Amino acid sequence: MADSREPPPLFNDDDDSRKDDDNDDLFTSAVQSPVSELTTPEDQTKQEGAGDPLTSPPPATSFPPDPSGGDRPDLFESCEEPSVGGFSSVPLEQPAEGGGTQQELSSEPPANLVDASSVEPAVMSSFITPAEEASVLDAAAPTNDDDDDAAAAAAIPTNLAGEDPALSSEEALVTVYDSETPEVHTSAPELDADSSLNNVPSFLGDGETTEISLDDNAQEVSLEDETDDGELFDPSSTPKLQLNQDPPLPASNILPPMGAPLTPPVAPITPTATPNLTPNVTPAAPTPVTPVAAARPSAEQLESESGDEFIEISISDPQKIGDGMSSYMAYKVTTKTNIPYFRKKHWSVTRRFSDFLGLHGKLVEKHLHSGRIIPPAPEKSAIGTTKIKLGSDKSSDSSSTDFIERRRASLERYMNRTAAHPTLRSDPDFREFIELDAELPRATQTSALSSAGVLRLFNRVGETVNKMTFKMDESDQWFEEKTQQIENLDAQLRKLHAAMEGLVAYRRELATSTASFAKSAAVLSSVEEHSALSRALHQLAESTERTHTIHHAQADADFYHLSETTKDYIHLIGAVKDVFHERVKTFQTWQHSQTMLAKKREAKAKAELAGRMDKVQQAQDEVAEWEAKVERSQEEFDRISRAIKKEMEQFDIVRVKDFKDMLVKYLEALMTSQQQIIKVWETFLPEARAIS
Amino acid sequence: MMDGMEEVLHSETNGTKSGRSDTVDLNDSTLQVDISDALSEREKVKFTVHTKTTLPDYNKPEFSVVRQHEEFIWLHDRFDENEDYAGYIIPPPPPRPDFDASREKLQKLGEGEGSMTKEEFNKMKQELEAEYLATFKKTVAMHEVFLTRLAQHPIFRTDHNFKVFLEYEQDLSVRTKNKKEKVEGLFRSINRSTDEILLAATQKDVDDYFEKEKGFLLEYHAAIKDSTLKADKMTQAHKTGVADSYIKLSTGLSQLGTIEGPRLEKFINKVSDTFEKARKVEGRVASDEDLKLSDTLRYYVRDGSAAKDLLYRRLRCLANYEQANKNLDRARAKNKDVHAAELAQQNACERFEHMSARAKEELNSFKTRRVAAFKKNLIELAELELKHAKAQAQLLKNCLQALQEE
Repeated sequence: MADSREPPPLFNDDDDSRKDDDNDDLFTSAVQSPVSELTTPEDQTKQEGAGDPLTSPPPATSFPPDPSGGDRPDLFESCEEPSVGGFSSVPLEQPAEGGGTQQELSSEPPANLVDASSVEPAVMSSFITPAEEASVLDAAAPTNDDDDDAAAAAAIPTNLAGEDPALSSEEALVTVYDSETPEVHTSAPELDADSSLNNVPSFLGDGETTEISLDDNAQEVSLEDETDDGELFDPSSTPKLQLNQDPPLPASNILPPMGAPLTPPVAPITPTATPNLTPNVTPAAPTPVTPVAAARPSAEQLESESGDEFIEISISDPQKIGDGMSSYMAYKVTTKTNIPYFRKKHWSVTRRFSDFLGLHGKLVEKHLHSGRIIPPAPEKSAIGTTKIKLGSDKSSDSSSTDFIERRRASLERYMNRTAAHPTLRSDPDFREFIELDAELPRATQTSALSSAGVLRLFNRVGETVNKMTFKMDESDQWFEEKTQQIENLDAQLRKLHAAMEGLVAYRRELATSTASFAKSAAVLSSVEEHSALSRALHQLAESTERTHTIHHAQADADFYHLSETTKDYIHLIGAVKDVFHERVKTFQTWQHSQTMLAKKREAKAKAELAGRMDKVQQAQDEVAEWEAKVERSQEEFDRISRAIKKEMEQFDIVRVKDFKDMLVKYLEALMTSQQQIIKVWETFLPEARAIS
Repeated sequence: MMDGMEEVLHSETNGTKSGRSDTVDLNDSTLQVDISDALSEREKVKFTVHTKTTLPDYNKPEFSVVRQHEEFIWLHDRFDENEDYAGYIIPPPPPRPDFDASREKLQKLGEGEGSMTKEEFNKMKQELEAEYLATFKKTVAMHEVFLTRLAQHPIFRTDHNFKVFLEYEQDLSVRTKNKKEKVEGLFRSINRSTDEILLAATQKDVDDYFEKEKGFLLEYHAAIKDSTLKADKMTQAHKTGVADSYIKLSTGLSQLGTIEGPRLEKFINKVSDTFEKARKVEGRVASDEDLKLSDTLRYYVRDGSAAKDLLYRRLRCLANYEQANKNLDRARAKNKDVHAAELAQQNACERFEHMSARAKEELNSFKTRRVAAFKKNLIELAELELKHAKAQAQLLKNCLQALQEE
């Protein structure tokens, strides 16, 4: 709860600082409801008249807005100026301007009217003349909100600049923000870096690769923004949007990455994290940054298509490293892929078990709050591990080999599940995990008994209490149904899993008892004095011995095909519940903000009644602040809701497919067993007939 | 299976016995006994024993009586205790009808009713009822086999007690042994087994054949007993374990299908159906293994034990004979009661000679009977296993095909 709220204050600070400088009303409104109806039509016209962004922006046209910019709040100006400096691309300014104006126009109360009207002509002219995508893009982007601004800014400039590596763009951004108020820049670069990093890969994943024409990018982005806006704020604009090739869907897709930076601090990926990636990885990471903006829509299409690219991770060669309790198991992680942002097609690294847990922890920290279903990592098993640690001889004990094999298989499934998610597989931490050919920094948070573990436990207890006590008033029917379905699914899967475990156990028992009968029959055959009968009994012993092997193999199939997959899904359902809970938390924040806003309004009214102007001013600020917060948390809530819907859609598809695959594979295994049994008895039958 | 076994026994006993005694006409129709009906009343099972005969001793050519398990045991004991039959392998008595296991399971199922769905419960119940029925049928068959063997035996068929058993329309009013008799019986059996051990240790057999046969039967009995136990465990694991978990799997899956909705429901229902069918096949595999394999083994555990008893009786007889020899020697030395001793010695000698000859025949027939029964049942077992495996493979194949078509 607490940390998810952290970022907003950051922004509020920004707002405050700006407000202090300038006309507060204008500002707050701009921040709160950035998107205006006006934007959309304008943008559209621009798109229609889309020319080549690179060529079209004449510096002259770009400057006209400047004067108006002077009147404008610092925010926009500062935003533009640096970017201009950083990327030396003029068009950037205009859009920002345009955005600014539009915001004013749309959301502005009468107070600003003068201002707005004065600006308008300039803006309009600027729009019409260059009419280039890039500007549209920027224009649209800023409207969305600060973060998106930043993200878009980061993305587009690089686009224009060509193959600028990410790092440079980040630096550029930093400088951009440097010129601004100090508070802003500290936070903003981080967010940018984050969002850009997040988005990039998913775009790249599309297979379109870096060489997407700017036109396309621009268009897509602008469309996307529009849809976004339309959906969010202006119902009337939606029809138009639907005319576009991009249905509303992409918009919701786009949201998550944008939203990501808003919520909890994404420390790990900040600029400092990038250097961490080590020389190997860095080149891979930055390059993708270029086409960020376009990445979003295409990445989403990818999720459903994704046919032409693959990533396949296999875990092999588990080996024990070290002795005694300090020993650990290391696994070879081999990746095969054709995704362009990986440097190679085929490579392997060595990872230990806790690394896998560490990876999961990082992914959860980064992506859970944006509504992503993070595949759960295999459980730690203290008993199994200790057994292996203390086992003096490797692989002598069959139970520990079993354990290792089971773990290896579950790690493999875990990795492939994670890799199947376009956003997760492009996460720098994930890529570092599978690509970095060196030991990873030891994950310290994974041990159950570490302080982090205890803390985690406490957190979990708190969450559980929260889950139990807070009953969300569900407004969205989809969620209501889905939550219920997930609950049912959970219960049913557990039941099914129990049945499967039973089957595995019984089949193992059958295998064992068959084996002991085989031995007994062998003894009987040696005792039998009638030679033909003795031979037949001997054959019977051999046949049952073979059926034993078949049953045993079948029990393994029961286990690996059915039981383990089902268990994975029980855990995945847990992850889904986590995501749902994340949404509830967001909802709580929103509710809280609303209550606070109401309180502040009341305070303001009181102050006004009392006629204490100084207090009124302060109250006004606070009201504005909370209005912003309400706005943001509502947006956040909408965003996570949509993200979850999107994720669930994918989850449902994958689950259905997985279950089908599982059952088909299992039935095939059963059939193979039966065919083997047929062979066994076919060889036995003549022997029985031969008794005379 | 008992039907099968019975058939074997028919043909077997016919073949071997006709070879050694020409005196009795062994036409199948001379004395035909079967159990035409059986009724389970509370704890008691009432068997309707139906007889068809051409033997002149019997009043009617065809008749039926109602007998209970205890009366079968009484009949067996009459044979067992008859000195005249000491040289024969007495057909093993049928096992006591035991439905406790089924009842217990049914009760357990009732207790666990809340924990499973109605569908699951019904299936389990059906399964148990089928099991109960199978046990019942088996019990009936065991009793029938006992009577059939007696009826087919040239000597036993003429036994008076057997006639009474078959013909007497009233209740034989055999009571279960009272306490005193039970204690006596226990005492006798202890006596007997110590005697057996003592004899086995001290008595040197004059005939190598019997010495060898004794060694074989001891070993064989132990081995086949173990095999029976293991086979039972195996079929049990197959039936109550694997087959029953298919039920849970099947219902679990179909419920999952309902929750998943249209995307998966059809698919899953097909799989669920397949599991349900596969369950039935697995259940049949288990019960056929039980019938063809375990029961054959089980029967020969008891038959082997009867053969062992025969060997004991012969050995006892040998000991008596040697004792008679000693007595004769002593009598001659003392020159007292020589005649009586001579007579006793002669009797014992005759007895022993006669018994040895009978026992040899009986043991040989036991062997032939065993080999034939094993042959028949092993072939049938293999054929049934093949049939079921093929059926299941086909079932799975069809299912996979249907799934692919989707």
